[in-house]
Amino acid sequence: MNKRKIDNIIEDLGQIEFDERASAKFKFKDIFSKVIFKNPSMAIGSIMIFLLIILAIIGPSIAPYDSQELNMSERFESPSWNHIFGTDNMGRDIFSRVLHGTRVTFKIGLASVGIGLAFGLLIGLFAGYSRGKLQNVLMRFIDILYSFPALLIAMALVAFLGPSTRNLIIAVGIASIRYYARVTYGVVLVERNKPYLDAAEIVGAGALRQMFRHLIPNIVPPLIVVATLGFAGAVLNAAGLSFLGLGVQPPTPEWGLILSSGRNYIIRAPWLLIFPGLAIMVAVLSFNIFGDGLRDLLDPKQQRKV
Amino acid sequence: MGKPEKKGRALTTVVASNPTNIETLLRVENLDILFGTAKQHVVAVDGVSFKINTGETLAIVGESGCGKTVTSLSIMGLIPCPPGIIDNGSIQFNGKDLLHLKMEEMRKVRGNDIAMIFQEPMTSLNPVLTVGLQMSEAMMAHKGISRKEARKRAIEMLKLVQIPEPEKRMEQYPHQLSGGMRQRVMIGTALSCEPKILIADEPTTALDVTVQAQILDLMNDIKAKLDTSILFITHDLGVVAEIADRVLVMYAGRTIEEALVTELYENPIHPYTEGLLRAIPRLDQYLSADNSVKEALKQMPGIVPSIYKKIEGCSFAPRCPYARKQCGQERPVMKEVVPGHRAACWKPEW
Repeated sequence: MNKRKIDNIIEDLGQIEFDERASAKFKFKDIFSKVIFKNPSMAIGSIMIFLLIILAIIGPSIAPYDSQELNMSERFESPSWNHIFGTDNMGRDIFSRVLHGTRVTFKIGLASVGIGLAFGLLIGLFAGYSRGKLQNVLMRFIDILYSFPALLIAMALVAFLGPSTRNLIIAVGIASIRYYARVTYGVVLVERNKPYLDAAEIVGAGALRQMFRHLIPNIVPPLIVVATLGFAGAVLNAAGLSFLGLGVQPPTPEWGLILSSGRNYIIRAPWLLIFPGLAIMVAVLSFNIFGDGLRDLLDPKQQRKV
Repeated sequence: MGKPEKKGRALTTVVASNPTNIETLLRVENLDILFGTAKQHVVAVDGVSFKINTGETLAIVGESGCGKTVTSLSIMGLIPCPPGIIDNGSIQFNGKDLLHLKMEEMRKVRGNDIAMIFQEPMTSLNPVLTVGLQMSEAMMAHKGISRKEARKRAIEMLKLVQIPEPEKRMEQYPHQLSGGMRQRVMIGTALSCEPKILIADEPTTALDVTVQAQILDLMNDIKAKLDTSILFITHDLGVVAEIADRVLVMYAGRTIEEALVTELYENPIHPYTEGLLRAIPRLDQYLSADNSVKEALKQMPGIVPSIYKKIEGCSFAPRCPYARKQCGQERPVMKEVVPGHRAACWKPEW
């Protein structure tokens, strides 16, 4: 009997629904004030990575000496103001070589993470999305890869392809595919059952569209974390292979290789090993710290606070 | 049963039963859906038949697990196979048999001819894509229009579903919208390709009552504007009264009663429907003048039979106050008891 009145009330109440939710635009300066400096490991890691990237870019041009210039009169000089990291058995400046090596290391790390991530993502995505035969075939393949140490796979590949910087990148990349495939697979399995995929299917999206348009953006956060930590692993693997003579070939200044060529003089000139070793450690450590911070940040439980 | 029908409704009954005047858009016949393997399975949907005419709202009512959602998903071709098996029956849409369409053809039907909205507006939108992108995507795929046009049309759709400042909302992500708005966006997306049928699977269940009322109003409004048929799935008889033209009651995977909405409320035939209607709390009936309780709310004894048990006879017989020996042995089929009112029950014959 009072239906009209009730209708009016409902209409009035309806207006309340249209409240303003969180502000629409993400402000760039918030990245620093709210994200990075709230999280100490993120702050330290990102500063270190930032410095390393700067060094990788400008390093070769600020290096005091040519990285490959031989100077037989200044062999095995201990660290001094002239050569702050000392010189090696051919009189080359270690500081300049380490600086040049930053760029080489970043190149290897980025490229091999790229290879591993691209293939791992595809395998994990198809396996997780398809359910059924394809899923089994792909993930058993990944299981097989998991039954060897990564370094062993990379060594076998380099032995097969021949040692060079390009082949090192390929080998380290392929050896890390399994890692990315597993993570992607796990995340896709979770996202696969969410209604938004059904909703996409209902408006007529095909399998590829569902995977690449709808799934990938949702699985990116954990993959960023894994890729950051994977970068550190790739640098380490590449240095290890170069140390064994299976990676970058002399005279290219790569940290693992500098370390390797200095190992015969460990008693006489320990700086040949200390400084490239420290460089590897700093690079790996900063990516690990940054990755940990990123993981805390992208953890879904914490996301709301940001 | 001999109750005289109201004039307006009686007229619709005649029209609805006359196939030359109203086109049947969707016809589901004898649909059986099993889950499991051929050897060991449970029956989720058991011989369900119904049809939807153009511009009509059919509500499927029933409690949880009675096969409402499975029925609607089968129309969209979304029953995962395995474990789902569509054992028998046909789904005809505009003369096409949806059960035997190829993947490609089915994709054209989805969204374009038949659209669907879900119960959970919170999770049916992709959290990392903007509202506008998700809306225009479907139109670009189905209508082959450019991004710009799709965007323009998406804004129109948002206006249609009464979202203020549609241009601004287009750029926002689902978490920036309230539940009611998300369901509006879902409805807008579903309707953007002008589907002939909109399947709404409990679209208001996750919303609070005032928002629920708005969404129902909106759906009625849009139906009148676009002449879309609606298949409305719900367990809420109050919602049915507001939106449906015809009602189909399901119980334990079977259809047990079908009638025009007023007819069903005034004159339920099946004891289950009767029980459901009596279990709705009503403001006017149960309180006396001094506010003391006059009559307690009626409840139905028993629970829904387990899906793992094979049912002989009428599935409602164990809970039915009128059950006789025949009910436990012979399965009643859907029969027209009163013109336009069908039920699967032996009682009218006694």
